[in-house]
Amino acid sequence: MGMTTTMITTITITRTMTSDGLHLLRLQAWLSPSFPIGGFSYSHALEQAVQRGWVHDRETLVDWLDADLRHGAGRSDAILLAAAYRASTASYSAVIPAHAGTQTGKGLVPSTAPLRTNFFGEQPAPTEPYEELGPRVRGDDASILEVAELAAALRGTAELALESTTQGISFLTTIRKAWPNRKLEDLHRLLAENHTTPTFPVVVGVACAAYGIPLALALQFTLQAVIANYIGAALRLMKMGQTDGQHAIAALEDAVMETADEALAATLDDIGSASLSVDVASMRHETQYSRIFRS
Amino acid sequence: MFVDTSPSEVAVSSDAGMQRARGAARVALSGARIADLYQKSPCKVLMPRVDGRDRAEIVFINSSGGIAGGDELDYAVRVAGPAVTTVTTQASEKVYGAIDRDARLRMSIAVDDGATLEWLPQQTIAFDGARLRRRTDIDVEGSGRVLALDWLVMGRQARGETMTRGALRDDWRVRRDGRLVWADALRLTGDLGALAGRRASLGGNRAFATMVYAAPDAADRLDLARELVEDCGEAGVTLVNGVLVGRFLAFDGMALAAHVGFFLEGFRAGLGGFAPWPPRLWTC
Repeated sequence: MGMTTTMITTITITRTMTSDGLHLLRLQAWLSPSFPIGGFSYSHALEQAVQRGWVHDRETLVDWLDADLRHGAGRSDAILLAAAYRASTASYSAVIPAHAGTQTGKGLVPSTAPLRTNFFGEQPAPTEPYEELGPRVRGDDASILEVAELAAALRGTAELALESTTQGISFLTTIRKAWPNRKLEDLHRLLAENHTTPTFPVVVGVACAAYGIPLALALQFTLQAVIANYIGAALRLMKMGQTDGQHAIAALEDAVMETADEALAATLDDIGSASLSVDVASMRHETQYSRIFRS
Repeated sequence: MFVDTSPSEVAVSSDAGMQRARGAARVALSGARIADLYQKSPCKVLMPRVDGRDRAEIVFINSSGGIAGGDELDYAVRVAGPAVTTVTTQASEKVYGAIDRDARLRMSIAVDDGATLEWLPQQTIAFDGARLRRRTDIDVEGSGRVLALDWLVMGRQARGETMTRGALRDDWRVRRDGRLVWADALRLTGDLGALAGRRASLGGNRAFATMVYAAPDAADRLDLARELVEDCGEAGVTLVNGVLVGRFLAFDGMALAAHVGFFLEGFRAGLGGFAPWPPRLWTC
């Protein structure tokens, strides 16, 4: 008797963790430096900031990134990501693929059902998740498009626009192939029909919504990945060791978590940046004589 | 029993109960002629006589003498036809400390096919505690050209004034043929003294400007703009979705005026067709 109870409990816990783990597993895959979107080629104006001496050591690097996270592009892109996620979630009557979990008033309850695989144990076939999503509500295309158009236009400089759109395009192309999903096909079609360029936060937001990844996790992981990428760029730009790089990542944990929290509670109307020096540095980077980064 | 309190000591907890301005001014020009005009106090419109049939100058006036929390001022200008229209303000707009509400300033600019407009207001000066929410909408059609500037000074440094708190929000939306091509949202809130000191933000500067040139030839003007901005301190220019954008940071309003003035003089001369520099009211 007692043995049976233990067994059931164990099984439940195992499956819940598998499903939570699946969200983390996907976020790690999509936001890892090996996801082929070319993140390594962008410094978000750090290259010019280093050239000008505005950023020259670990302390000034952390201050620069902390300010841009809390008051600049980090915060604005997090709000755009959240808005795209919500708009995408709203456009379906059944939101979450059955294998990911169930959306309730208290957030996403992870599914206890095993992940569906095909005969070969591979990812679900492209047609499969489409049917699980239920009928589409066409009206909400408008809200996704509103976020996408704002995200494409809200770029302070040519290179910051390039950074966001090239990564957005590559992210969408890759994820449509490796993690096919109807929401991603719909996003692709909607943007193409309206000649709107994909941007990184919008595509990540819709991809996370498509796979039922909790929004808070999506925001935290994305901000952390972006920061880690810039710190990787900084290591190539100035005399700073790998350990100092990790010190910087650790020092920015609070900024990542708090910015994610702020974005969760924000609307598009709250978007705004105080990072004017990042814009100026990015503009001057366009004519920088010797450079290794595209932004 | 009487409570011994003079009126000035009564704590006012909100801008909501105060007398606040709800003004508007709208002008539509066809060529250099007025096609439509609307004014609601404290906003007024002046059109000084200018030389030439193909030029017009519009001066927006806020006759209340400054902006307080809760004020809402709505300006709009629309131009059609081949004339060149210069729009400016009578004086530097001063935004005073608010109790709890944003002052809302709105500027809508519509430039029809073939028309040219420049929006060159005088500096906005924000005092400590000011809460400003400004929005500029620009709609350009076809071959229309628009050059627009907005600049803001956080307190008058020369008088020892600094801005340590408040909320400054400045939004831009630029549409060409109905399509959103550039959006901008500046947002400086909270502990402005600390924020302005951070290198990624204002880097210790207390004055900043944004300039936009939206026109079919914007891309061709990038080289000129880059050349000019080299001599403008902490400033840069770029081209986003076919819109030429400039940002200027400066220690104070005077330094900013020097840099922006230098840039605009050279840039406007290079563009051709614009009115002689500067708008006369800038130097009154």
